[in-house]
Amino acid sequence: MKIVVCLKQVPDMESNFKIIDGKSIDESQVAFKINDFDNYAVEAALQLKEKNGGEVIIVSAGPDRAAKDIRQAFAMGADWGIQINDPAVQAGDNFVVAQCLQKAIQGIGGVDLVLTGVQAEDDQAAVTGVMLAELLGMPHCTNVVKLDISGANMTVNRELEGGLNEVLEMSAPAVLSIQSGINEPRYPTLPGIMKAKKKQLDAKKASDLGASTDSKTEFVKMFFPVSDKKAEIIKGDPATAAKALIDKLKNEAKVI
Amino acid sequence: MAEKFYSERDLNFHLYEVNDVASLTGYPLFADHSRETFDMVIETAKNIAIDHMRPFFTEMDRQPPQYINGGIRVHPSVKNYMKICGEGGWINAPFPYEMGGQQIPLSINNAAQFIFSAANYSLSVYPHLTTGAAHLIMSFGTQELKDRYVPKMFAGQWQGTMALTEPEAGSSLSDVVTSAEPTDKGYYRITGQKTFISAGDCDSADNIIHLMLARVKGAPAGVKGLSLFVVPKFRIADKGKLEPNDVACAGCYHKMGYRGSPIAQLSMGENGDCRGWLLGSENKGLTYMFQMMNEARVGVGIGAVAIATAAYHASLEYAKERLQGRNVLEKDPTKPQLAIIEHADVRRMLLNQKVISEGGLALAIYCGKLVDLVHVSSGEEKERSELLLEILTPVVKTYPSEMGIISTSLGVQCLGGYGYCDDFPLEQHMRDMRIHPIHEGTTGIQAMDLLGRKATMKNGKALMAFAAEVESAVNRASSFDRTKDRAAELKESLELLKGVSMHLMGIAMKGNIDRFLSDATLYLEFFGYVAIAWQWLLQGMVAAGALAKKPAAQDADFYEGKLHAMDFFFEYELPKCLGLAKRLRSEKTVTLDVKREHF
Repeated sequence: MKIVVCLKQVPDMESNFKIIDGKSIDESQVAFKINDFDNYAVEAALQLKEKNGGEVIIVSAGPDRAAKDIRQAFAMGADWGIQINDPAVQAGDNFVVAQCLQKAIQGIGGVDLVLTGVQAEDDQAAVTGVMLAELLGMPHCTNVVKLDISGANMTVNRELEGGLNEVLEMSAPAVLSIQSGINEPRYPTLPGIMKAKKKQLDAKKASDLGASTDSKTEFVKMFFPVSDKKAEIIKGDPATAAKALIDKLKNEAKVI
Repeated sequence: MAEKFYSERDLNFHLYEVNDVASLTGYPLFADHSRETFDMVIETAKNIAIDHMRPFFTEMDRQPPQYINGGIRVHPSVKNYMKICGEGGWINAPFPYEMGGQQIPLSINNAAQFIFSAANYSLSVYPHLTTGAAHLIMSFGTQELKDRYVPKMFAGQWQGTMALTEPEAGSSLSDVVTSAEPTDKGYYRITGQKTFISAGDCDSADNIIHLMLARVKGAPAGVKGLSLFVVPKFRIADKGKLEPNDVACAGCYHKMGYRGSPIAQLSMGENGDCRGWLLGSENKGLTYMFQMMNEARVGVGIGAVAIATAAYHASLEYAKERLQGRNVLEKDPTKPQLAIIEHADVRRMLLNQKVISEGGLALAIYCGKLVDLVHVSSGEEKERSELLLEILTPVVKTYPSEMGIISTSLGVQCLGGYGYCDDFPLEQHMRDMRIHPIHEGTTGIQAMDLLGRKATMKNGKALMAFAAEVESAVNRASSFDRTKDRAAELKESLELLKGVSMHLMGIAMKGNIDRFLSDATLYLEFFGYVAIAWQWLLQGMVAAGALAKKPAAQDADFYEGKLHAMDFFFEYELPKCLGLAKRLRSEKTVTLDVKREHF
């Protein structure tokens, strides 16, 4: 099986974020890591490879710093990768990224399965995988929590609200966006880390892939959400405080 | 529980900004590595520590190993952690490729150990002990012994131990009496008792492989008659089947701290059928052990510094959040309370913890790099590294261990009554710390090693090598406005240390060895203050240089913090040398004069 995993490098959400001019974050004080959801996709791909043979290819759109995390996936066991390293792509929206991923995957050729994380931790848009499926003309399934493959036939469990699953029958090639919890991602082994640095990582620009860098959306600004609500501490003895609380819930918040 | 147990920023500072560990990749042994691989190793260690170690920190203390039906049951997380370490290649990480390892520099391996130990010291020791035991087999065993034991140890399926101590032979290994009787079948019959054996029995592994000191019948008395044996709990019978090797676990001690790892009492040969396989030659056992000793003792320093670091971060987190009291000049009780970090005395306690933990880590990383340089360098660089490692080993083992007790106690103090309760991790850190001045050679043994052997070795060449390194740092620091005064103070303390060393050696040369060594522990303490001041000056220089380049605000705070900590060490800690020097130069021989009847 030839499996592509689309991997995004994202800021560690515990970093100290500072917005510059409402347009971007100050990266000098931010640590980066693999998007957590993509880690599950890498693990799912590696398990499929171990069972069915083949290769796992990482495709990622990101600047120089993203190479570190592509190699992290190599250290877990992925075979080789493509890094779309182009400032114009970085400045673009999810559609630009999806289109570059599409061209890169078509360039690889013969891909049986494309896995993405269900969403990215930073923008939480959850659209790249779906757009990619459309662009590739492949069937897709989101929120995948279980995956069985036999030849080109797949049985996929898709997570729904309320803890329900729906079960779908699909055929490869397809795009699946993988939900967290589907597996337990492995740690890179030390031998894996040593091998990772020697694995092939091709660098591409949008123009190499024949992809457009025209966004479909317009970025306006970035800001920290401002809360105009403040917590109120209700004073008094328990009976008085409880009465005041019920009054507020009934008449101000109108929730009871 | 406190989430942060170490600072990635600080660890990277020591590794790359102060010690330039990445330069090791210039040596052929480490040429396959790069800063990128080092970062990936450390990142993976962090993730393992967060996911599989830290969550069991408290639980392993509250549910210590149990002695049940002649065996010891340990926390289930041990088996999982050993599996992770085995599958991930952590147990054999520093070994050469031909031994199945990854030739990871000890500097980086130690950094990973630091993270593991800070997350959960008790859990960290199981694979670490296995590495040490496998290292001895790989270094001195026959191919047959290597093939028989090492692969399963590297895989984390079999646990290794170091079985040295006996009921009547603790610090005094010359009194080891466990005996080994040769047979004509290629093995020896082992009979005797061992005690305080870390992870000496546990149900987390399928087999326990003891590296055991014993005396072959007829061997000379003292340490020159000790041999080293591989003594498995289960020996390999026909067709690879395991059968009991007459090693009985006679009990499990109930300890003050470090409770997640058992220390066992072992009894060998109760049925006359305990078999041991000799490593190397007879009567060379202690020599073999000592070839690993420097690395092992640096490892203890790493463990101690890790616990001190975790305690520091827990108390720092608390001090930033806990509201208590107001400024001493504020008389209005209705004004909001301050976070306790705003009180000068709390900041004193935090700074004291910071200088001990980060100063100790600085020396430990430096010594780890010395071990690497001894392996890869040649000529003068090798000799210099060997001499420095020899003289600094007792210091790097002892300073974090002894001062870590003070540091973790200050952590408890920051939390006041809460620190004394088990709702917070501080009291456990303090208990966990207490083992370090005891195991792997007590502080008293380290002190005699430093003064009696290392300071005098090769006509004082190791001491001179240390002085030259300190003087070099002093000269460089003299050119920075921010560090030049501290450089002068360190120079003064170094001269004081040299003077005291000469004074003591004069006593030794007169043959008064009792008096020469009677206050060796104070000499070691003195040496520790000078060595850590030197490490703080090195850190201060890097920080001053970085600040001159106008870094981003968060980095600027980090470097300013380093300079404040350096100032603290020089103002509050280094002056203690004056009192120690006074005592060490005194003609009064109080501890020699007092007799047992006088107590």
